[in-house]
Amino acid sequence: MRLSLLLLPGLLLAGTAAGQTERRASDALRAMFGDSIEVRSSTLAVSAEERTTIRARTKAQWPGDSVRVLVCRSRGRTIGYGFLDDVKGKMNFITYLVGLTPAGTVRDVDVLVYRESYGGEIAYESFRRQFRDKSAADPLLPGRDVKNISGATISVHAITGGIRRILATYELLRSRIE
Amino acid sequence: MKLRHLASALTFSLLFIPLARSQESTTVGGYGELHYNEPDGIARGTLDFHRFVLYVGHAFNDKLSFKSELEVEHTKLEAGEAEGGEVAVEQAYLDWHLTQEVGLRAGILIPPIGILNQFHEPPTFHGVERPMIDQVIIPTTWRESGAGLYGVLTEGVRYQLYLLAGLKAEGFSEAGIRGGRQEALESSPVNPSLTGRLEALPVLGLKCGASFFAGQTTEGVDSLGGGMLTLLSADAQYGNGPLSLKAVGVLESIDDAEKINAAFQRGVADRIYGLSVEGAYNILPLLAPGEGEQSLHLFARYERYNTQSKVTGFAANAAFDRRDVTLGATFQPTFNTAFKLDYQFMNDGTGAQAKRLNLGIGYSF
Repeated sequence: MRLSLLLLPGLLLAGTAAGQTERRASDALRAMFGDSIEVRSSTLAVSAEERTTIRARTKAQWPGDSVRVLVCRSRGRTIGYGFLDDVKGKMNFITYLVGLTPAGTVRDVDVLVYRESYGGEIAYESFRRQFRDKSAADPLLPGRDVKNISGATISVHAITGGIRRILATYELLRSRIE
Repeated sequence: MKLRHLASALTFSLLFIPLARSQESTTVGGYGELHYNEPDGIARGTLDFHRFVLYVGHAFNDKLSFKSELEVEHTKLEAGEAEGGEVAVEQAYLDWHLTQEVGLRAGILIPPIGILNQFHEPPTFHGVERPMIDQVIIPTTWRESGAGLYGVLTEGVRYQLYLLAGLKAEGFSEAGIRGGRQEALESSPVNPSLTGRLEALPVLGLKCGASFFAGQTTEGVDSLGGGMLTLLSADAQYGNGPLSLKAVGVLESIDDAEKINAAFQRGVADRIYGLSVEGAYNILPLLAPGEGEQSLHLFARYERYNTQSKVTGFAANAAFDRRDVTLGATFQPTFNTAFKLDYQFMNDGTGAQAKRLNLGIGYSF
């Protein structure tokens, strides 16, 4: 009994901090797909083999073995997905959200938690706008089809690589998401 | 009973943990650079692993984080040896990100002057050696203990404002203010200095910044006056497709230079300035279309800087009135690795000329 009482506040605290991020993600998805959506979260396991395929296609870092997917439904129909992810910046992780249409194109990108000292410009609308309507067929490379931001190079590459990876993940695993 | 409580607590918390990063997380990174410098007329130059740097960052939660940079210069230090390198903590601070508009920052901070002092990873600049104005006029890596605020004023405009331990006039010389840094080593807080920066991104691809650093330097010694140092700086960076442009201008004024010189005989000027312009073009898409993120930039940089621009009571030393031209190439297999080659033409006001070939590699991760 004593052990569980000790554990409970810590676990609740962890749950609350994480819950805030998820609430922020849900709000961002409502802005992308409409206020009436119902958001249900799930975790999609990605096997080592699938990760290798995705890494080969995207040349993007892969920090874990699963992805967090927020399924957005309206009137009984799935109208979009939110992929909640972290990428490593210069000295801390960046938590961001990619909203995808069922066709696999980017509706919008949102930076949910930015912990770095430099490079916060990736949260600007002018930067995020570049990703709208992009799909796994686009190269998504800074300096090519994504404009870099001076002084934010690491963050720009990190989030662009993350978005590339999410698009490839959806492309490969879409049949398993529901 | 106990198990049931534990199980329900676990289930509850697992249900609400969407992200690993919502709890504490630590990251490790770093950068480094190997240089080969060969001054003209010398058959063999020198190879030097100039900088080896490790970053450690830690997020305590979504709002509070720690960042640090530990540097080994010139690979080693040996007891009793005058020659050798340096080990230094160049950054170590806490960020408390209260809101988007205001954050608190405290620790060993970098005065936010110019471009390179804040961003000095080798893959982020062209040329093997750092630009001269970022060594001589802005004494990079300039760091000092202190605290301040940072944040976003409005989308597109960011600020930093810090109160730091100041410079010491006794270290100034005809070569500028570099020797006046305390480098967070038992720094005297007697001359606190204010430094800040406003940075705007008017359109994607263009970044403009304006910075200042101001504070007295004579530690309250009456006979030296205040030795007020005022530094003003402006910079701009533009990138569009294969083209990138950079410009930095710095103006420094030192009050009471005459009194400082009377005490230390170092030829300190009343006014110092530096200007640097650089253009680079990525030619790889022309040579090998579709090569992904690789790039091959050709670049040219012109620098004009003078640490003896205006002097009182003695003749300015023209050897410090300098014009440098650097021409070179940077190949980047990835955005965070670089192979560099350049040639420098260095001229001063006495008519002396020097040339130097540089080769280097650099990385950051």
